[in-house]
Parts: sequence; C-alpha cells; structure tokens
Amino acid sequence: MSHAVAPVRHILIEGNKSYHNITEDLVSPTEKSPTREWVVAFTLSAAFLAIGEWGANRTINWAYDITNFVWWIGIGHAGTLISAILLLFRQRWRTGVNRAAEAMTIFAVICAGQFPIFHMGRVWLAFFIFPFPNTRGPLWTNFNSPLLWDVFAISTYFSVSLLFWYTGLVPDLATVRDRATGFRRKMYEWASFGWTGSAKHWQRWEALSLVLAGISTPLVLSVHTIVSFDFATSVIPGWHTTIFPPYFVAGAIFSGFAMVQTLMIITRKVLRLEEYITLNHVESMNKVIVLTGTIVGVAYLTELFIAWYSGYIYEQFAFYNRVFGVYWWSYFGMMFCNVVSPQVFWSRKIRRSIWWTFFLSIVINIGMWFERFVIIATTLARDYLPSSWSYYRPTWVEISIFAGTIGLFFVCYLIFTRVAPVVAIAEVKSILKVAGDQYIGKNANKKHH
Amino acid sequence: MAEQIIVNKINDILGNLNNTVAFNAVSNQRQGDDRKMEALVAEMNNGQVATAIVWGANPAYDYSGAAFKAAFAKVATRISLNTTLDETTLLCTHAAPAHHALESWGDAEPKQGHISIIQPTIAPLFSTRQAEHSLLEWADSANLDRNSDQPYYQYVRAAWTSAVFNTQSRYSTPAAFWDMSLHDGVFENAPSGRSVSFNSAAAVNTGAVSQPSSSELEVSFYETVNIGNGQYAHNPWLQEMPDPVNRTVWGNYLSVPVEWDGKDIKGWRNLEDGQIVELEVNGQKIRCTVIRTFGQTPGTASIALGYGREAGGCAAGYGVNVNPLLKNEGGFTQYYLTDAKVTPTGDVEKDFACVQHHHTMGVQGKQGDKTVNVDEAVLAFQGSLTERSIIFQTNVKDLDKLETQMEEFHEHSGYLNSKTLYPTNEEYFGTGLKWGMYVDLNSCIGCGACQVACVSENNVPVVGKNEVMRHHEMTWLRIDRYFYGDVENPKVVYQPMMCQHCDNAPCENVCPVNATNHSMEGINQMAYNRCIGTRYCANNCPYKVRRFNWLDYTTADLWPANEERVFHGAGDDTPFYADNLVRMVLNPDVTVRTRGVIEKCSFCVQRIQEGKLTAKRESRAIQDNDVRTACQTACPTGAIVFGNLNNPESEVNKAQKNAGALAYQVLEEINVRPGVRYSAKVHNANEELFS
Repeated sequence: MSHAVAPVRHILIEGNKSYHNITEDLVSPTEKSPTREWVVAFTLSAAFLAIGEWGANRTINWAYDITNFVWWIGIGHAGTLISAILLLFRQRWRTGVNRAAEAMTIFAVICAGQFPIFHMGRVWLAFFIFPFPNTRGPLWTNFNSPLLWDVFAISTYFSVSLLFWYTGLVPDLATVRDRATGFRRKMYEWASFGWTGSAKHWQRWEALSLVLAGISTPLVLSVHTIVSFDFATSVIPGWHTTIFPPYFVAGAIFSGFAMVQTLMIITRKVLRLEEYITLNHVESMNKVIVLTGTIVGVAYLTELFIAWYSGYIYEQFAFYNRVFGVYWWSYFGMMFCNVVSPQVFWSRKIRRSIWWTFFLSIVINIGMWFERFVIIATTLARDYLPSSWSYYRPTWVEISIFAGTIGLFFVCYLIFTRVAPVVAIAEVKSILKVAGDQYIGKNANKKHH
Repeated sequence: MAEQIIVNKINDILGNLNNTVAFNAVSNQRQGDDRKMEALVAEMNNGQVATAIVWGANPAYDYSGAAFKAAFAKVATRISLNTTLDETTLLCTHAAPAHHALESWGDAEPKQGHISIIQPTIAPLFSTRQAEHSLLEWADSANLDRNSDQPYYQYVRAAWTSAVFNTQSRYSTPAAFWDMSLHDGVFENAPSGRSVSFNSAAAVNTGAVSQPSSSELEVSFYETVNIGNGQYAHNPWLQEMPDPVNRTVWGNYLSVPVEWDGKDIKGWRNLEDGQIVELEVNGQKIRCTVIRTFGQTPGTASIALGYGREAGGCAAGYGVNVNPLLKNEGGFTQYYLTDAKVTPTGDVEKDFACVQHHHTMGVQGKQGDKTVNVDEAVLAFQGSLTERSIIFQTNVKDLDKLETQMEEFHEHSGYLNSKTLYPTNEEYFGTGLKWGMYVDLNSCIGCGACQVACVSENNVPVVGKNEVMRHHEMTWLRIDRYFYGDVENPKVVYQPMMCQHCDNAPCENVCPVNATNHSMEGINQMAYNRCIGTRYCANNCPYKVRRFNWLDYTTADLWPANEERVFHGAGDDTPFYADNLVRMVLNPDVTVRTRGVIEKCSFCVQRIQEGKLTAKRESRAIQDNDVRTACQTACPTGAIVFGNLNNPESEVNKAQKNAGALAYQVLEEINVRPGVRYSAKVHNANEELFS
C-alpha cells in the first residue's frame, strides 16, 4: 500500500497519522458512547422538531414554504460539488470533508422535500404529481410545468446523491464491521454488502464512484437551474428574469459551503477530528465562499441594472420595491450577509479563524434565506394590480415547521456521525504522505497508539 | 327641509318641474315620518298604548331616541311578527314570527304605476304564519277564508279582482288578469298625469338652511349599500361584501380624512388604519376603529349605521351601534353631529378586515411648487402606478387625446405580443363559440351586486372576519376601487375584477397536474378534483383572481381540526356551512369545493351549459339571451356584457366595437390575451368645481 509522494504537496492530514490511527480515530465515534458535546448538540437539535398552518394569502401564495424549500435545496449543493466536481478536478483535500458534505446534501434534500409536500392543499393527493399509468383517462401530469421539472430534478438529485454517498460508505462500513461484534457486526455486515476489500471490489468501486461523479456533476448545475425556473418562467415581474439559473446555482454553492463550514466546525469539535478537518480545509472552503459570494453580489447588481435598463415599469417597480418597499429590511439583510460579509475572507487571517468562519457561515445562511424570501414574498406582495397588494407575516406554525426542519437536519446529521465514519476512511488513507514526514520527519519517533 | 324647498324653487326657475323632474312615477320605497314615531313613543310613555305589534321593524335597535325601550316596556301586550329574534322581539311579550318574504304571498307598488305580486318560491320551512294572515286573523276579518289552504293568497287575489282588475281593459276576466300579472310579475298601470307647481306660499327660509359649523370635527352617519340601516345585517353574504368605498367587511369603521404633508400620506391626526379611538359626540362616547379614507372631506368623519347588533343573527358582535348617538331635532333624526371629539385609546383592532390596502391610481398633491403623484412619492417612484395599464381615464374634454393615446397603447402592445416564440392557438378560437366579457367602467357604480350574485350562484363560501383579515377571502369577483385626481378631493373608479380567461393563461402552463386548462370555447377551467393545491397558478396570475381554500370553509368534507377556524354564526357550535338550513343556499348546479383546492370565476360555466342545452333542444344556434352570467344579471346598470365573441352580432362584440380604442384589456402588453375587456373611464365633472 505504498503511495506516490508528491513532494510539493502540503500535508492534508495533520498529526502524523498511520493507517491504524486513522481507522481508530474515525471508527471510534461509532463505537464509544457519545461525547458530552454530541449529547448537548443532539438534545438541542431534537428540541426543534414540530408541525401545523400557513400565513400565506390570496396574493402571497408562497412564502415560508417555498423560501425554505429553495434554501434547503441550495444548501445541499455544496455536498455534490465537493464530492463530484472536486473529485473530477482532483482536489484531494476534499477527502476530509466530502463524506460529511454528502450526508449534508442528503439531509438537506430530505428537509427541502418536505416543503413542497406540506405546502400542498391536498397532501394526500401528492402522488398526482408523478406521471404514472392510471385509470383516470389516463391522465398525465403537465410536462410544461416547472413544478413537474422540480419533481424530476429533485428526485434524480436525491437518488444520485444517496447512491454516491452510500457507495463511498461501503468500504468504511466494512471497516466498522471488521471491528464490531455481535448484533452490531450483523448490521454492518448487511450494510456493507459483504465487502471483502479484494482488488476486484476496489476496481469496481472506483469505476462506480467515477461514473456516479460523472452523473452528479451536471446535477450540481441543473438542479438549482430547474428550481430557478419555477420563478424565471413565470410572468411575475421580479421573477421573470433570465439571470436566475446561474445566479441560483452560485447562490446554492455559496450557501452550501457556508452550511458545510457550520457542520464541519461542529463536527471537528464534537468528534475531536481537528487533525482530519484542518484549518486548510476551512480556508479552502472560505475561498469558494468568497468567490461564489461575489458572483451572487454581481448578480444582484446586474438585476438592478437590467430592471432600470428594461424601461419596463413593472420590472422597475418590482426592484424598487425590493430595495425600498415594505420588506426593505430583508433586502438589506440579504445584501449585507451575502455580499458584504464574505468579503472579509480576503484576509488570510480571518479565513483561517475558526470563530470568524463559524460566525460568518451562519450569517451567510441567514443572508441566503433572506435572498429567497426577498425573491418570493417581496415579489408577490406587490405585483401588477395594486388592489391586491398585501403583506405577509409567518404564523407560529410556519416558523415551527421551519425550525422543525432545522432540528431534523441536525438530528439526522448527528445520528449519522454516530453510525457511520464521518470522514471517508478509505479515501483519507489514500492521501497520507506515507514515505514522507510520517517516518523520516522530526516526529518519526512519536509513539503509536 | 329648507334645502329641499330651495332645490324645488331652483327646479321651478329652471323650468324642470313636470319636465325633467317628473312626479307621476314616484318611488314609494322609502316612506316614514319621524314625528309620528316620536308621537307614538310619547303615547306609549303615557300608557295610552295597550297593544303594540312590531312587523318588519326593529326600533329597539335603530330608533335613535333612547326613550324607546322604556316607553315600549309600558305597553302591556307587545307582539313581534319579525322573522328573527332581534333586539325588539326580545322585548316583546309574544313572538309570532311571520313567513320569510320568499315564503309569502303579497303585493306591492314599489314605484307608482308598477304593481307587483309577491309570490312564494318555497313552502314555509318552519311553523310560521304569514304576517298579513295573522293581522286578518286577529282582526277577525270577514274577508279571511280560514278553510282555504292558503288564506292570504285568496285574500290577495280577491283584492286584485276588486281593486286592480277594474283599472285595466286588456284582460276580460279576473282569472286571466291574475294569471298574466302573476306570470309577468308586475302589472304596469299607466300613471295618471300628475302635474305639480311650486307653491309660492312655501317661503324660502334661508335662515333654516344648515350652516357649516365651526366645530373642528363633524361626524356623519350613513346607511351602507350592503346592509342598509341594519335590516340586512344578518345576511353573511352582505356582511362579507366589502364596502364600496372603504373596502372593509364585517363591521363599521370611522372614516377619517387623509392628509398630505408634502412627504407622506397620513390619516387625520396621524391616525392609522385599525387604531381604536373613542368618539365623543352628543354627550356620549363610543369606541370604534379608524380607517383612513381618501375623499373624506377635511374636518369630517363618518361611520355606518346598522352594526353593533346585539341579537338576531350572525351580525351580532361586529362593529358598534351608533344609533344612540343620533340626535332628534325639530322632529327629525339628524344623521350628522358637530363638535365631535376623537381620542386614541392606544388599542388596535386585531381583526381589522379590509380587502384592499393600496387605494389609489396616482393621486396628486403639491410637493413644494411641483404637482406630483403623492402616493407615488410615498412609494418613492413617480409613475409606478399611473403608468400601469390597469385603468385608463380622462375628462370628456380630453377624450380625443385619450383615444390617440390608447390607439398607440394597443399598437405597442400588439407589437410586443407579436414577438412571442410560441404558437398563439388563434385558430382554435376563431370558430364555434368563444366566450368573452366586456365591462363598461363608465356604467359601473361599484355597488357590489355582481359580487353577491356571484357568491350566491357559485357557492362561494363566507369565510368570516378573521379569515378576511388574513386575506383569505374567497370572492371570485371583486370590485377594485381606485382613487385618482386630487389627493384631498379624489375621484373614484371601480373595476370589477374576475378571472380574465386568458387565451395564453400563465396559470395553466404552471399547474403540474393539469388541474387548470383551457376549453375550446376560451374558458379557463378548473378541475377541482385534480387540484392538489400547489398554488403556483395563483402566484402566476397577474390579476390575482385565483382563490385557495385555505380551510374547509364549506364543510364539504368536514375537517375536525378546521372546525374552530371556519366561520361560525354568533354563539353557534357548528360551523356556518354545516347547518342544514344554511346549506339550502348552495346551488345544486355547482360543485362545492373542499379544502386545499384553488377556485375562481368560471364564467358561470353551468349557465353556459344550460344555455347550450336549451339551444340544442330547440334546434337552433345559441343566442345572447341563452347565457347570462350571474354578475351580468345582477348588474343594475348593465355594465357587464357577456357573450360569444365569434358572433359578430352578439351584444358583447357590439359593445366592444362601439367603445373603439377605448376598449382595452388590463395588462394588455404582457401577452396573456384575456377574454375580458374594459372600457376607459370618461368622466364629465366640471374641473373648475373640483379644483
């Protein structure tokens, strides 16, 4: 198992780990009883699970529901980007965070998926939205509707992400199995599909991973593009804009990376993985954040420019209203959190600061929530006919459902950290500097565990 | 009184009497004598009245003199014939409820020369008795045939034979005359030529003319178009019909003037919508909710009669009763009071229910030396309202200018719309039937009759005050009211707004399940049982006419969890629509919608179907009169015309053609191709008087 040494490459994993150390460190969270920090985090998350009715109205038919849907879907994107696009670009540092980011994608999509279902008037007929052979005519879905495209986009996205994530997990679950006994061993045996680590298994695993990465890559761009079509194909001024697809994708990656930061910082602390999820990871992701944040900022300004340039009164008013209308605070919240705040990451010191990163990652996700709220609620509140202009306030029920999905998300994530290795063991082992500092460096004498 | 004499004198001088002001067909509908009522109260007070019979009146609620209740108590036998247990009936010793008007026989002469027969449409639901029958019974009348199935029917018929039959010569037998009058519903008796002249003895006492008061605030009290002075208050359809000016429902609000200070539009004394104030007038105090109203004259406020009911039906508990404030002067009830004081209480009404929160289409005021649209100044965007293609209006003297402007607008819209990449499907709509509507904004008076007719025809649910407050009202047809002109003295335009049945409907392509689609006859239709309630269609509707069943309003499939939230009558445990009596209002030709589906104007598709079947049965082409929508039927001014656009002879086509360039589609330039057209509003006000 020797590994080619790239002399110019910085170490990606700190602490001079041996293969055994890695297995030990990464599998142990699934074996030991939870750390105190995990218990605190889990209790806080579980407290947020709840349900009930909407404050939307005849003018603003979507508000919290779709805002939250788009927000969660956006968050999911970073996981796919890290696992697929960074894999194809051979960004090897990704191994430290890709497993957790993929898990985040799965859980975010689960949270997101609930909103379009809950927001339906007749939830029990939600299956009407799938094109299936039926005795009603047969009656088909409307393939012109962006909502139907959403169904395809999101179900594809979820299945591919799930497969990709689980494929990566198989060798690691086998590692857990090998160390487990009794009932746990049986469960992991079943979950790892009889993985033996033979060359044939590895070869097939590599091939499958590559294929799934190939399938996932366009999804990073397509899913949020299609979500943006919900708005872009409408006739409502402020929604009907061609800039939406790239703008939504950039925003999704932006918010996704911010959420990865939030999770990674909690994870490395709670599971004591500071040596695997290093400051270098944090810094790399902050670079992506400042890039996508700037793209989003340019998109906001372009929108304003085009509204003015269009000479079209409804469009002009829609944007005027965003900035100076009754919801001005959400516009300024969005501008500040998404455009201004990430600019501090130009400073290397802040990029490498855990506290700054944690704080800003939360600020950015608040900002990205505002962005969706601005697009959806503010736009609908004042559209064509002034007689129907309205104001929306969320009810306690809507707030609770949203808080509930946040709770669900973190609960799922924290359970995940307890049952599966949160860092991809097999992949991390492949980036260890075997012949390098590990044995010949100044820490070569470090005692093994 | 003095004012009326002066008006008569002016008419006399102008030669209008017996000419344009005719007295031979007067309306008999509103008659009464405040002085006689006052005298009756005095008699009751003196113990001179042994028996009082109340019928179709509710003086315990609406008589302004507070003395009524005390005086009424002194009457030994108090009988009420009223149909509900209202405030007066509660004070009576006997309640002998009469039939409802729809269960009664009778006759009336609402207008001189128009004698009509009242005919029941339903057998009595409860054990009630016709009021007239009761009176005849108690009077021991010899003309009452007690052995008849319908004694009062016999009575009316006999009366027509003896009193009306002889006034005509068309029908030779009383039976034929009765049958035809009953069939026609009305018998028109050429009014006798009645000529009047001004009695110069009625000296014009100009001193008696009411003078403008020097008080800071004058309050006027008015009857609303929906519930009158309260007699129709217990009809929830009327309660939920927004006031044409304030656009409020379920309650009366103190309208205060709007002021413009060069920067912001504010209510008088910075009062805001929904704020609760204490109104002190005529030595009495009431708490009421404020609404800022454009067009309320500075120095005045107004509030509606008819609210603040204590008993009798669903209106109980909404609004405040202002009758006790009214003053009796010179034998007349005065519907205005001076020296009013308004004090904010610091409270805000939580259920303040108004369906329109933006009120204007560009009202003008001064900003420094410039005249600006002040509401647009508040929105920080000049042109943000006035440049919208929703309302077009002009003074008649500038009509030519508007016509040119509208021709350009049509041309520009046509150019923009021709740029579409997608097929227009024009060929589908060019043949056969293509339904369309035309609304003449010059005729529309904003009364709301169309809205109530629509509610009644289409089983549109009443949702109650709290739900309207949450903007969950369900009306398929609403009347948008916009002010324009001077900020302190604006003009108003009403725009009935219903589904525009767009041929390129933005709602249709976004529905993921095809629940809303287009018929070959140009109707945008809803398949309720396919709808899953994503509400995407409602978002994408530029006219915001789609309505969502947020709760199980009609109790179509009762959701126990919804029961508390849907509308209940006062003190009722069961939801309003769960009551079998209420369910009788439902139109059997129209589906009752369940929770979670979208609904909207269907162009009365059930009436279209009926019309088509009639034409088919008679083996002929369908004509205008075969199909008349509910709103069209109810409109008192004929502002709404409906018909087949592919028939060049149809009324709707002719009306549109007559309007020429003044006929337009709302938001014509966004290429949704609506099936409803409006006419520009042309007003003929003397601008000098306005300025």
